[in-house]
Amino acid sequence: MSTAAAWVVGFVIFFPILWMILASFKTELEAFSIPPSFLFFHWTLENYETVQGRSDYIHHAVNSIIVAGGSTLIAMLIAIPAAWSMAFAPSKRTKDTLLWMLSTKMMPPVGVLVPIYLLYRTFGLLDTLGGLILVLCLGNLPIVVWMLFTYFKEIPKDILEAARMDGATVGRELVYVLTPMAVPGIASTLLLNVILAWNEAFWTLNLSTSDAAPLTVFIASYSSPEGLFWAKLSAASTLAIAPILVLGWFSQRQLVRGLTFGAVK
Amino acid sequence: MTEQTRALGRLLLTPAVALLFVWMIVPLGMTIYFSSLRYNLLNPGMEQFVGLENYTYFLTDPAFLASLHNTLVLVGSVLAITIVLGTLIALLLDQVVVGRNIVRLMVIAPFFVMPTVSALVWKNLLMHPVSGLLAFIATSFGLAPIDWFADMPLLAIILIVAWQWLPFATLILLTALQSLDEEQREAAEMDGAGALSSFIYVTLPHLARPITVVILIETIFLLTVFAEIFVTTGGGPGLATTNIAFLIYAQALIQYDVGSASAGGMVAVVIANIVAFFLVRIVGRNLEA
Repeated sequence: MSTAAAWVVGFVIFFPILWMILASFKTELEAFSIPPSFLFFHWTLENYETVQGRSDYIHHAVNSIIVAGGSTLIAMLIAIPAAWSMAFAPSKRTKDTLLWMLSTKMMPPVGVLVPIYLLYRTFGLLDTLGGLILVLCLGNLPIVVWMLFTYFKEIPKDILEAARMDGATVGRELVYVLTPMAVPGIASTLLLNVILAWNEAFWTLNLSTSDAAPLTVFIASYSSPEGLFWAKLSAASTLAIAPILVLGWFSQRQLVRGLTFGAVK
Repeated sequence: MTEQTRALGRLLLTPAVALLFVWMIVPLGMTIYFSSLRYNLLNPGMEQFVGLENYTYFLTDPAFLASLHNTLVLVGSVLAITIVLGTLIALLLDQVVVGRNIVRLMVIAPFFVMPTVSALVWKNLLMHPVSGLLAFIATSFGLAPIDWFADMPLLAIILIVAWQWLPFATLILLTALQSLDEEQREAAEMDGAGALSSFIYVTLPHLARPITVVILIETIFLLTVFAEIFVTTGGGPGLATTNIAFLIYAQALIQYDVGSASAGGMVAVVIANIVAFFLVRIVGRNLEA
């Protein structure tokens, strides 16, 4: 009974995505026709070919990879030492620092849109990959620090003390003791942050137009009223979300931890 | 802990703190400064100090009241939909379900779809008044199809955003449910509590905190919904789907009115901070434990 209900609910929620994937294999005419065909249409790959060939899909996909990957890696490089420090060498101010970092994430991006836009214009960062990497890296830094902190916090301190007793220096301790235990947490943080950066659609829409435009912006270009190319929109969208859907499914658990700042485990 | 470790700790923390500090203070300071100027990008070099005039202008602009109203309706409706449905779905998935993992994957999927994709797929493939699937379903039942973006544009946006955030609420509430002690529930049943009263007296209090967390976090993000509006309605028709975030965007990058947009930005910051205040307190309490 509950099985049937759960499957129906799951199917309904998933349906828009399924419908989009189906439409991506239809011809433009079939995608638009009423009554719609669910499975018995002429399956075709032509939309994928067109999207690939005509609209420079690869260019935008590469931008997405560079921006999501780059901003995540830089954020990790800054956040790992910080989280390590707060988890293993806490001071009286650690809690306040953590909460302050959280509060920077609460700042609505639109509140600083004007100055960021003007600064970017002045320094020639509009529509550049570097500019997008910078803003996404800083925007996600608080979440990255927080997630890493909650993971590092779970590593038993006794192990460190034992290592110290054996005369390990802080550097050795970091490399040989801590890092192996921290790898799962670091990997989860990396994954979640790539997802967030891949889907980010405020800064990417406002700060990039063509050269540096990632897939979010590329898909938005299908919104023009004359461009009723549903099958091609669907094909481009399917390609844009497929990798992240797969990553996302692997990281459901971390999603809860990362997005609630450890408030729900 | 040795003095050396402590010094190293400070050293390692500094880059993150310094960067976040600059990232917060510089743009915010500039926003405050710009908000006191008459400054339009179309008339460069004409900047002039006007005190609080931009705030008076922004706050008394009918567009502000309309967008504040739209923002509240959008946030409130999406919260209501995602919390109620999310709780129900979480309770359902917490039952014995064959293939629960697969169902859970399907339920979570919308969260990973980029906002521009979900907005355009809903707008075209589902909500189009002639060729959309919803129109087809409506006509099959002999009903008049709804022209979503002409007749009830704000509701259309609400549905799209609710679909995106439903997985988040469901996933967090499900996680919380699964941590509810099985013994607690059995004890309640032993005491003769029915399904309903055990839900009201055991499950619901247990969900109170995660629900609060969901409300606060969703509110932070929902206050600044942007891409969904940008690609579907562009804030229209009229101001029907303009929220505060979109209004500020329009003043800044369409009308190039830096002063007014900055004043609006400060208003958005204040609103978000009220929500953030409560969220930070809840998270802070959790840090102690």
